[in-house]
Amino acid sequence: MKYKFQVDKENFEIEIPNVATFHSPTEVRVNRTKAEVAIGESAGDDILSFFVNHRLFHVEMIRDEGGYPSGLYVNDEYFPVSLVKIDQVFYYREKSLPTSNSGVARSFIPGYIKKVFFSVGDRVEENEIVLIHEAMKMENEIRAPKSGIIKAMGVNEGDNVLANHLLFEIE
Amino acid sequence: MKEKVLIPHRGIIALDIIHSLNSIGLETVLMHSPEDALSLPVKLADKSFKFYSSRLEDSYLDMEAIIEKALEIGAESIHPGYGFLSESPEFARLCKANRIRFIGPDEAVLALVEDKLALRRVATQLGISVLSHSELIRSPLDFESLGDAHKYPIIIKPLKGSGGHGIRVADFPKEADDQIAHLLAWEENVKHGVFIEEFLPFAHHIEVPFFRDVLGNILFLPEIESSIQRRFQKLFQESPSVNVTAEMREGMFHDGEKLIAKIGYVGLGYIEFIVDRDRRFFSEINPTFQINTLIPEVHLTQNFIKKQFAISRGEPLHHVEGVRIIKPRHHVLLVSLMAEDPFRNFEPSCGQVSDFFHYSTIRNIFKTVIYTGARVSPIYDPFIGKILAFAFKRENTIRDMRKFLDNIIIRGIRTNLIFLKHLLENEHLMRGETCIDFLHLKFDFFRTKRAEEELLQAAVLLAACFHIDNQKKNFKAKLGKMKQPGFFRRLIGGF
Repeated sequence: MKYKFQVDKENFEIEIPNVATFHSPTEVRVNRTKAEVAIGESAGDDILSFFVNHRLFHVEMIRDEGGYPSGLYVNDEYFPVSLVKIDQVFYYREKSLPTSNSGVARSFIPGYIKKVFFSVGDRVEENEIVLIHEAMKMENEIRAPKSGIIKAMGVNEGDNVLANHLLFEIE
Repeated sequence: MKEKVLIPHRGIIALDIIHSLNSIGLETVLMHSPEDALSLPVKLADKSFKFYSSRLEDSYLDMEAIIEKALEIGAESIHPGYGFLSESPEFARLCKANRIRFIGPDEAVLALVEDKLALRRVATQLGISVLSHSELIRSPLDFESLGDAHKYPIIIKPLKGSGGHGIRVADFPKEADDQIAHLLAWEENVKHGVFIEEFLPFAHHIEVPFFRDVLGNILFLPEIESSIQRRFQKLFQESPSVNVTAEMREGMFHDGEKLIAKIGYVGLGYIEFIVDRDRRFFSEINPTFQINTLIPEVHLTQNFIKKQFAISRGEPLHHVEGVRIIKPRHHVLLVSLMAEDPFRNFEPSCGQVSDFFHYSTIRNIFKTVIYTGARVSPIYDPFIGKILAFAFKRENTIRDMRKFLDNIIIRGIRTNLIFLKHLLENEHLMRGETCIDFLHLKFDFFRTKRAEEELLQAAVLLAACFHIDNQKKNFKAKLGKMKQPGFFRRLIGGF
């Protein structure tokens, strides 16, 4: 299989034997050089580390919504990556922009609602601070994604919220 | 019966207190929130009690519940650690009223130290220079009436804030208006007020730890430079500072001696100075432990918690008459390990630690609350560990620390380890050119160029990961097809 990836804005062409499972050291072609790759540690189905040329690297692949790789952590270091093509098939995808006009705000990590400045029926301007979501001593100012009237308020002051909890909705 | 001490605290400081006071034969009783029920301090304490709720106001900040528990179990003293209630004069008063010893300075001293402007007035009277600052601001109108008397950038601080809470920097008037309006949205800020002071981005943030006993003897320890901060949380600290001359150092000890003798301070504290070339300005006194207490402990090779406990009992300092200044023998560095992802805008990272390993030497100390399987809770500070290294020369200390960070593996949560590694490779830092706004002015985390080899390795790893995942997916897809009705019939040829 031939893969083409972009790693930190640079292109790499990698050729891997079709049947490779990396349980034993396998030779891989990258650009014009060669590298030997083997699985290091694994937990269940997840592979935690690989040997590349007999050096161990811890890896974690981050995928986007489509299931394609978008980032890679190598020994704590992060590399933005994207898939360009597999064999002869191109995988150019348009980056989906965050839909800011939805008017719904959700908590991105679990935390605590420290302060709420508005209530249902109030008018808010875009980028105005609606509430303060505190997580791990960090005060996150949650701002209105658009101007409008607050239709629903998912939280009260003093609530503990989980990730992805509805905070408020603007119409 | 053993003397009992109540510790309403969590994290590394709770561990330290439990260990130190246990070793001098006290019974340690921990009070923890339900969220911390599986944390290390609970495992090490002699006894532990739970608060009813994990909310801060109902747990570590609930004075009545703590006092009630102390009376119930018959504890002689309460150790407030740092943060939480340790700087609250009201809590000290409550303890005194209930005949429980509050380990820390006296209530009157705490009240004075808490009021930053009052303390600065005392300092000015003694001839100690302070940063130029405004009077109290309680409404946006107060700020307007100040006019253009102040030079930008300015720093805006709540009068009674601590731990970096609510401190903001404004570079121009419009921003200052916004920030003040935002700060005054909080009731306590309106009640106590906020003030503004000059912000010196190229200055140095210096702290001088000290002990003062009931007889008035003072023990000074080498100064700590903690200029490198992110969001007013100290990240990299060193002692002694390379930016302080011998003359300046003497001046700081002299100023400190005058000030703490004047206010009658008894116990452990830190005097903060802002040092700008050959000028120094007194900033404030921190009346508690700091996360950097490990640094003076290395200089003195004594346990500060035991020492503080002895002083609170009224014992004098040993081998100190008048003023004693400890000379540094080593260069000491301390970095803070935070559970936050530097690649995702320092978003706190919580979850379960799946793997934890470190290798230490005789010149390293690694204090942490995490272990394999530990859960990092989202509702508290992301501070999870501190790493200290010491050697005779500064360069060697930095090199040792850099190497030590390579020997730490933490998986399951994201930490700022990689940020610290890059920081320790910064050339300005190597030359000792630290300053308060270091992370904005002299360090760019994202601009560090990666070597070609590193990218190549990443590409290989990515391909390997992706290839294996794809194989699994294909296999599962085939398996799925086999489960469809008629698969085998079609395989045979279909009839």
